[in-house]
Amino acid sequence: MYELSLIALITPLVGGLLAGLIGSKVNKSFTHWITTLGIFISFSISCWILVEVFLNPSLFLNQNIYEWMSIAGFNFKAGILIDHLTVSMMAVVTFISLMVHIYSIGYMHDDPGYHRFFCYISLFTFAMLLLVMSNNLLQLFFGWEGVGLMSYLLIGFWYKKESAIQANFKAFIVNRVGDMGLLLGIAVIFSIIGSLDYQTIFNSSTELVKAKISITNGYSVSAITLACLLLFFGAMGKSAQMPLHVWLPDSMEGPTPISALIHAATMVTAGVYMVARMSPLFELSSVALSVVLIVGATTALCAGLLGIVMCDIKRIIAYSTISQLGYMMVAAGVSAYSASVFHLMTHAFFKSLLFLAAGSVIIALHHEQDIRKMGGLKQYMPITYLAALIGSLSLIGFPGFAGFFSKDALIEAVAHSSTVGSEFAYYCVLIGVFVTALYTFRFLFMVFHGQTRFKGGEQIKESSWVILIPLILLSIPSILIAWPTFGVLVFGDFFSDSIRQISSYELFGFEYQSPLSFLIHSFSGPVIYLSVIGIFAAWVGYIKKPELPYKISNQFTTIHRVLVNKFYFDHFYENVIAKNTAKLGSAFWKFGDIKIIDDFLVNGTAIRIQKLSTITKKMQTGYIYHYALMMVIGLSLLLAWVIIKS
Amino acid sequence: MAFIEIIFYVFSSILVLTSLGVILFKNPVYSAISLILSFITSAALWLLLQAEFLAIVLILVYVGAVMVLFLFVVMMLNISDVIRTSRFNKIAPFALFIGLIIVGELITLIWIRSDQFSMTSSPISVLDTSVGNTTLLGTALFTDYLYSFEIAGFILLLAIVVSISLTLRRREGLKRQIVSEQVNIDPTKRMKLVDLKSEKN
Amino acid sequence: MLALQSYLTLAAIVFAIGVMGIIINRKNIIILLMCTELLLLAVNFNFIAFSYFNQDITGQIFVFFILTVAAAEAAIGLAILVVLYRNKDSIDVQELQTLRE
Repeated sequence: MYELSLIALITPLVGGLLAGLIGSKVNKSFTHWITTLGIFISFSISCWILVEVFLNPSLFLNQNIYEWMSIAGFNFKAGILIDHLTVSMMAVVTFISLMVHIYSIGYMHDDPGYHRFFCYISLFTFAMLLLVMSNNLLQLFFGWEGVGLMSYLLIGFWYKKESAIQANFKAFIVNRVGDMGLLLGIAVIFSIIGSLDYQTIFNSSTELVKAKISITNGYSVSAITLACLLLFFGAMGKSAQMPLHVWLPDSMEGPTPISALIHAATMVTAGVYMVARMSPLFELSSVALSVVLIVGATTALCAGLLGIVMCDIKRIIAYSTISQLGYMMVAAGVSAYSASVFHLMTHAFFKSLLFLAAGSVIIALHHEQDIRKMGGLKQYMPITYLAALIGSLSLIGFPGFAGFFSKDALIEAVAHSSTVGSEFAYYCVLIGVFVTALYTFRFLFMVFHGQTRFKGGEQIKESSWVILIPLILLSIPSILIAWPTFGVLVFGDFFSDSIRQISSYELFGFEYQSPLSFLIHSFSGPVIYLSVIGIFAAWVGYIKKPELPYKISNQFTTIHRVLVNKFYFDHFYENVIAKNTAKLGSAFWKFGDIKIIDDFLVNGTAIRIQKLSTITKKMQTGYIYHYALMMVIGLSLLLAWVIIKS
Repeated sequence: MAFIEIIFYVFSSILVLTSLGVILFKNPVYSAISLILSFITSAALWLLLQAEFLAIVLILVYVGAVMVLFLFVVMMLNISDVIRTSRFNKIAPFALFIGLIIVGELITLIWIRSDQFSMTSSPISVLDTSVGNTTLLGTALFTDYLYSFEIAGFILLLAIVVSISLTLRRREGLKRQIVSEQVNIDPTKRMKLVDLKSEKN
Repeated sequence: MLALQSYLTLAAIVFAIGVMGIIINRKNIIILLMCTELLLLAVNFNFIAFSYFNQDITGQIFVFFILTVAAAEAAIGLAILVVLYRNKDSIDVQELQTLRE
């Protein structure tokens, strides 16, 4: 199994490198075949391991591949950890990646950067697999940075577009802010435990609880709280939690398959994965859990609100992603890590489905992304419509769909939780459910129903099969994935070898019997009714009375303006942080660099040496007898010293 | 005893005077001759210290070879203008001062440290008189100090090579044999075969 | 009675004269070389005196080597001097200032 998992890890890398290095020398079909084949092998192996794991739950692999370096008694190793969490993530990542590869063959067909694109997404998959399969924090950090780098390259894929360059820059910088937190968190753990290996860290986590780290004189915090908060700060950057979410909507500048792969299914979930992986630590710090909970809940609600007012088809889905990531964090915050990971998986399916459907629409309309210029596409693109409908229903948690189970389970967990801030979180996620339904169906109605608002309607036709096949393949798990797996993954002890798990009764407050009974049970809660109200509101607002939203927005201009300006986060960052940083930087540059370093240290040294040497130069007459005289004076002084000493 | 003391004081006075002469004469030829004289007096004094071989060597090597070389160079170089100018200048009093300080310091050191010299106060017949000084020196030199001796020989060889290579001068326009060119000559460049048509008549 | 100190004092005087010669002399580089010989002579004096009074032949061996090296030094020094004179047409110490640049 060790060799197989190595192969699964390496094939995307090999495929990506081959496509990038020699792809453009051969031809397009070579590029997409080699990369798709690489991912396919990886996917098959992941599935095989998954099946093995289901058959034999005790299967577990934790092996170091080689020692990377050894400094002062600390060993840094690269290794593979295969447990249930890893296997699930591997399967999801490779499956979505495979779908995106196939989809991209059609979507990127005419793009001049075809080879580059396939190289990037394969390498991205490699980095993500590296992150997921790592058995220590250093390798996780490596994969973390790897996906960050590839996302930077992919957002700026169309590097001639000014906005794309700005967006990838923004994504990179915001991610750096989060990464700093992650790195500091790793450093805190390393400084106390002295190892980065997961197993070692979890085994000696009591040391972290005991240790104190003093911040200022007389004020110290518990190391575990500090470490968890810093790690979560890293997760906030990668998983786009408020207030570090600003990069994700802008990252929609990249090609749509990328939005599906990176910004819905895989990279942004790295933060959630990391929190789940570090759950034995997070469990030990109630402060960190509360912070996770509150940040997640706030993000879930606020990002959803923003989704209502956006007009760009991809940005709506992007805000929806942020909101759903907030849900996952909420679940982690109430210790329902399995629900969090399960939502991560279902979300990966239906969100990439939605993105790919949106991509299908975009390409049919010749790169038109404004939903105000769409509408009535249902009759032109029936399969895409169906896919989008399935994705939407799954997203809002319509009973029976995959999203329903995952979301309902985590809301149940929040309702039953007693973590500090869980009441606030509960109301946030409940309103969030309504908001989700509203913006999802607003998107669906405005794109596919109602009046046609675009030009040249007759030429619109359904996309090609290479685009539709991934949609169909993704639709299936979006509906059905929860039925066989829900009980085992969320309520069973499937993840018990990797995630710190509390008994399901303690977590959810009721005994689980079967998916059907869970379905029936949910009708006693408010969640379903809220989403139905949301759909109804969307129907009223965008089908029945299309003028109503304008009236409302005119009524509440202040709120509308705040929402349209995305809570002024961007303004704040740009005007306060970026400008002041620039000012600070220029102050450092003008004073620190030019005055101190250049004038005083660098040139100043030269000038002072020159001045000094003009004085000492006079001593160097070049006359032999002067040098001899100096020698003789030295000799006489030496003799004098000897005499005085004796 | 008294005789030896008289010899010592006479010769040491001559040594000091001739040494002063070396640095005070305007004419370098006089200086050189003065230096020769100081070497000879030194050799006499070394005889008092029973270093007969070295005394002879000093006269043979120094007076006979080195000083002749000095005189040779002095006379070879055209330095008549140097002779006329005085060698004294404004730094002379300072040099005298430094010299006196060094002398003072050395003598102080010699006399206050005299108790530390592990010397026999009566140095009569230090070395075995039955064996000559030359034999004694030779025995030590060719046994314990053989390697040093070889190195010394090598240094002399080096001195020869260096002196020659420094002063060797190739004048332009001299016709001389260059062996390497003769050996490395290419026969095809020397000889040319020409086909000549025989005239028919 | 002649003590070791007498010889050492004599050597010290000769040494000091050599030092003074080096400092005073500003015209002729040959005199510098001669003063070096004087310094070496003074040192040799010390060695031989110690050798005699310590009853140890090693001092004389050392003098032997010093004489060798001094001879070599004189030969090379004079050769350099000849080359110098050939190039600069002078052996004036005051003109030998190129080291300054």
